[in-house]
Amino acid sequence: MTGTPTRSEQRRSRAAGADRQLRALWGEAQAGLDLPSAGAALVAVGGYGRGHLSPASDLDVVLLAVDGYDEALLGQLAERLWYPLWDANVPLDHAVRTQRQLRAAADDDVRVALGLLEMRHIAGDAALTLSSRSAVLAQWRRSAKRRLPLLVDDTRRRWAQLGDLGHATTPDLKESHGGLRDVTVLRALLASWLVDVPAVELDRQAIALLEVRDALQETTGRRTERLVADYAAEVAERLGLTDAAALRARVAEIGRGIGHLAQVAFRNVDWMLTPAPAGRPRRPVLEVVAPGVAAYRGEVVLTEKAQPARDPLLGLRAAEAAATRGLLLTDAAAARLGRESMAMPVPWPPEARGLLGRLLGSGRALVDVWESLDQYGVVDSLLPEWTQVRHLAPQSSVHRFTVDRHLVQTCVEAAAYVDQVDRPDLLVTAALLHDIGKGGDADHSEVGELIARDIAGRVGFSAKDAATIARLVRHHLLLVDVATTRDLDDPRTAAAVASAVVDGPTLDLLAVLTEADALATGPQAWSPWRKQLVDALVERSKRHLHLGSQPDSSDRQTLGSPLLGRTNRGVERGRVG
Amino acid sequence: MRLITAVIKPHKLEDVRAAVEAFGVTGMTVTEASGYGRQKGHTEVYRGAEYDIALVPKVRVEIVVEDGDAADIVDVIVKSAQTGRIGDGKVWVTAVETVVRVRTGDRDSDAV
Repeated sequence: MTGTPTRSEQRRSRAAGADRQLRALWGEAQAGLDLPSAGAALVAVGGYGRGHLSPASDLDVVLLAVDGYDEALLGQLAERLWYPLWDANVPLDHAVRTQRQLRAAADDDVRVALGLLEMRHIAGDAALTLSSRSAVLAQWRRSAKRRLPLLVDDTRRRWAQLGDLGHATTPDLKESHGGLRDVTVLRALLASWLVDVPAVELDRQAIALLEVRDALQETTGRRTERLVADYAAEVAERLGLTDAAALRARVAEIGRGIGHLAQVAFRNVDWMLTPAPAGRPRRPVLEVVAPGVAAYRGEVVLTEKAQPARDPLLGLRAAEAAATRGLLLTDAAAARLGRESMAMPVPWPPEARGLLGRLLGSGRALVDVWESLDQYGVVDSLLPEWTQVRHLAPQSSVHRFTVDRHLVQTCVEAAAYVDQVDRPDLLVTAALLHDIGKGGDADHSEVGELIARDIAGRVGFSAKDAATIARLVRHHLLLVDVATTRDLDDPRTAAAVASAVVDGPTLDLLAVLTEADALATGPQAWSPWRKQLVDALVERSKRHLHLGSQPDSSDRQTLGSPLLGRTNRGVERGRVG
Repeated sequence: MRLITAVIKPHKLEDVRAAVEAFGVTGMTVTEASGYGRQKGHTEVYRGAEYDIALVPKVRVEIVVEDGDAADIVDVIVKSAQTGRIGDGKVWVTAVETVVRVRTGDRDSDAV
């Protein structure tokens, strides 16, 4: 067959080329040192162990020897292998270990263990490689119950630090949640025989992500893992995608896929390693938590009585049950809801609106539940407008998430205040919708106001409540804009804000929404400096409303003037929404 | 070369920026800052209510300019940042030994 080799073929061919180079060096060293035929071997580990080399990948190799091997000879052998590679500027990650040291290193450091699980013979004593690989695997399986919780904790910490591949503005293709490091972790879980991972799906996603990583490294010419915006257009072109937005959607889809496999696998690890309650048999128990919905092994499933096609509230009921209990929605349940759910009547019944409010106000658990709903099209059926913001890159570098994920995160941040406001349902609905107007050229607050009013009406809010939600969306940047650019000492400033928000309860909601929006944006967006200014403005505006001062005609003019509505660079730096 | 540092009220930043830009200044560094001067611990009266504020939010603007321009630019900043009320801020000028533009390696006047 002819034609340009695919990147997958290129990775294999690079690895094969490296294999040949190492075997040649081994042959020369063996001849030069009069090496015994048994007792030492050169093995590839990590990604190279799997037979793949990306354009800028290191050669991960270990020189292995039986215990008691002549140390001086081993040192000479290493020199004859490594020096020519260093001289040729081959990026090398190397180690020299006896079998005992190998086992100790694998036992000591879980990252080393993960690399060694992918061990592959290159040169020398093949029987030594085989026995070492068997020993490492056996040791991994023996110690899995002890080590997997550590690996899972470690991985979850990394996720918390680096964010999701699918939602980060500058995703790290290796270390983000849903990245290549997770693929390695999942393969290690698979190798432990304790939990199952859909291997074919994992391989498919991993290859897709390697394609992106290779194209990125071809673009930068360096060992880059972070997909920064400057490179996105060229990477997209190399992958045959239309533009940077298409690349983002591709990366998000892969990241969500791998991230989801990891979530499911980790849940299984958690469940597997949680001791059964004393005196109770370890058998699955379905706990019905709502009509058609049950909790089972830390997840929410649909019961056999569930009828998505005849029960329009089932999806929200299942999602609410999961999120408010800190559980996840199973793939099977989400998929069935996406496939079979009947459309929600318009306007939504009050029960559906209540479920939505409690779901959005559930806190951190919302993130995974929303993700499941979104993956299987349930969000689209409830909120078709979501398509506009899905995977959408933010305009400002202050943002850490894509727009859709930012909206969900704003709900999570707002959830901390649901007990402190009169109408938490209005707060979380506005939190979910505050940036729904993004994605076009017009002012997103103005566009968003109209969309939010439509949605609020459809969801069944009264006209007054829908107007409040729309007003919150319209003015979600008002407090930060005014606080950082207007003279707070000037009574007209507070009067203008009071006039825009209309009443005290709306001002309270807007203050919480402003903070939640900023916290969801990123650490720079809610500095003590900014908070102090916004707090002062809220306090003064509140006092203005409390004292019953109606803005005089000059205040109203100020509000409507270009001065208050202006956007300037100084403000733009700190604008969050 | 001179470094002009101005600590001003946040809402005056846009006016200052526009004014120095009109003068021909092409760049500035802006930082969120907090501080106090002579109004230390002042009690501000706002529609009958009293607020005690120890550290007041300000912005800090830094501009490197040619020696000969420094006095004029300071005037421009002062004029545009002035509200006449307490807490308007300060502007000061310090001597700068060398300035290098990182991208090109240009120095001093060429780098400003």
